[in-house]
Amino acid sequence: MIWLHRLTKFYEKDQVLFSDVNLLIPSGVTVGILGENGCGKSTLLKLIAGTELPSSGRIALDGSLLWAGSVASAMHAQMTVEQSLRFLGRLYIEEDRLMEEKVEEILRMADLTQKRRMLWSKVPADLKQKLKFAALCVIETDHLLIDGGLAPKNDKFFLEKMAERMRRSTTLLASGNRKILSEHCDAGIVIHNRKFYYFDAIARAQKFFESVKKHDKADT
Amino acid sequence: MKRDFFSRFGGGVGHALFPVDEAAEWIKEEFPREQDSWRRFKRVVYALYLRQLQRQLKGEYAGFVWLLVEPLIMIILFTLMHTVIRGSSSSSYDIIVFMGSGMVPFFLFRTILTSSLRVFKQNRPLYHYPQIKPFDAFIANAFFESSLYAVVTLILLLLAFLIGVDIIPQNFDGVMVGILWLILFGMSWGLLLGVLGHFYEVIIKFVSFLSLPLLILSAVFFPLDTLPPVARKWLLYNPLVHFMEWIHGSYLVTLDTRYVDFSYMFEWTVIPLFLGLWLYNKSERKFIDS
Repeated sequence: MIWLHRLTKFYEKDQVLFSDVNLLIPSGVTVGILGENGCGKSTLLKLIAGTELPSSGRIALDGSLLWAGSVASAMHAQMTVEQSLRFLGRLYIEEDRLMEEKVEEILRMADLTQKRRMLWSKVPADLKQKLKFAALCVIETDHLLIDGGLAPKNDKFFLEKMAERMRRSTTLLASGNRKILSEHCDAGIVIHNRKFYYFDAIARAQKFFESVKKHDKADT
Repeated sequence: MKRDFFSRFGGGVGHALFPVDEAAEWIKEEFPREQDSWRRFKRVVYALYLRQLQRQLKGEYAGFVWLLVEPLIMIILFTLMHTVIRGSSSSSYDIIVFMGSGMVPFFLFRTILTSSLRVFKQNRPLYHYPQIKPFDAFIANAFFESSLYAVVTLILLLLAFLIGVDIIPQNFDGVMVGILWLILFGMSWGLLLGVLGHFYEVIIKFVSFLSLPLLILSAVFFPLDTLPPVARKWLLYNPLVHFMEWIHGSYLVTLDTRYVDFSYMFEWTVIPLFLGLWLYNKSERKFIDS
């Protein structure tokens, strides 16, 4: 469950992203976030993840959280893949044995078992990408925040794993891809004119978003 | 809880479909508070500590060697100087032990202080994780530096033992209290100056510049008793002098600790500690939010 109460976020006084919004996202749903470019889709995720702070209002959640954008920050260029992954694992898993198992699983999924001793700075970009999604799949949290794609190069295996993973937690998915949203999301939020519009069904959210876009175009 | 909420406030979730403020009050009471924040803290500090250890062991191997060599050079240098100036037979205690028990704690203090100054900035990418707070990085760093110096101390003691120096502290408890207190003292000032240094870069430069004069003015390589009374009076305003006198005097009980003023040390530890905690608390969000 994610709860936003009277949330306002602005950078400069004239650049207000949302003002005084309230939102309650129930546990267990997957919510797609829709909105024009620059309306604050990824800022909303960062606010919930706690890496950015609201200008006013409060945010609360009842459990652990993993934000897709944070995975890369755990990886240190001068440390080996395995060491960095253990660090990431320790942040979420208390028991050492379980943590080791999870690290193994991530390495396996990302085809990095042979390269576990490689420095992160030497790992090729496509494997880095794979590792990010493998980590998202394997580390279990109550909340999951994803911006952008769901799998490296739309890999079938990863798409399936991610779909399973998202079903196990409360997920917010910010994506510009219509198909991904309608395939994976239950509900939807449209960010429009500094407000949130919540819909129980993603199809209705998408419909609303289309009509809003059309309306805006007609205005200008 | 989820079901309770919806039966109470109706099925409508989202924009203005339920009485927001009433629901907020209800949630505030029902929402699980952070009961396991101590467990979170321990877990995060442990992870950060191991991360720093691995980085040190991998990349900056030379760093650790320097950590060992620096006090070693200083001990040898000052022991030689002392022998040349005053002759070797003049004192009732072992000069090497005196130098060692001054230099290593002093370097420990200096390292904790100076490394704390940059710790908030250094760990910024890690604040992407909601469970990591800048304060955790600060604590992990202080633990790390302290344990590094524990290893350095053991190696130096072993070296001294091998060349036949009597390395057993004569008042072991006194030495331990002195060193642990010194660590806390370093952490208090590290926190306060680290928070301030985040906003005023000049403070960091100033403290780095200060470390050499501090070595000379802190009674690290001479007993306070040997100074003329006027100099003694002025040096005693420096709280580090009290720490050094205490550690020296506990290690070698032939030296006395009558100049040590515990309440003075206490004030200089507790006031910056609480000031640092207060300022940190006020500015934590500025460390996270870039």
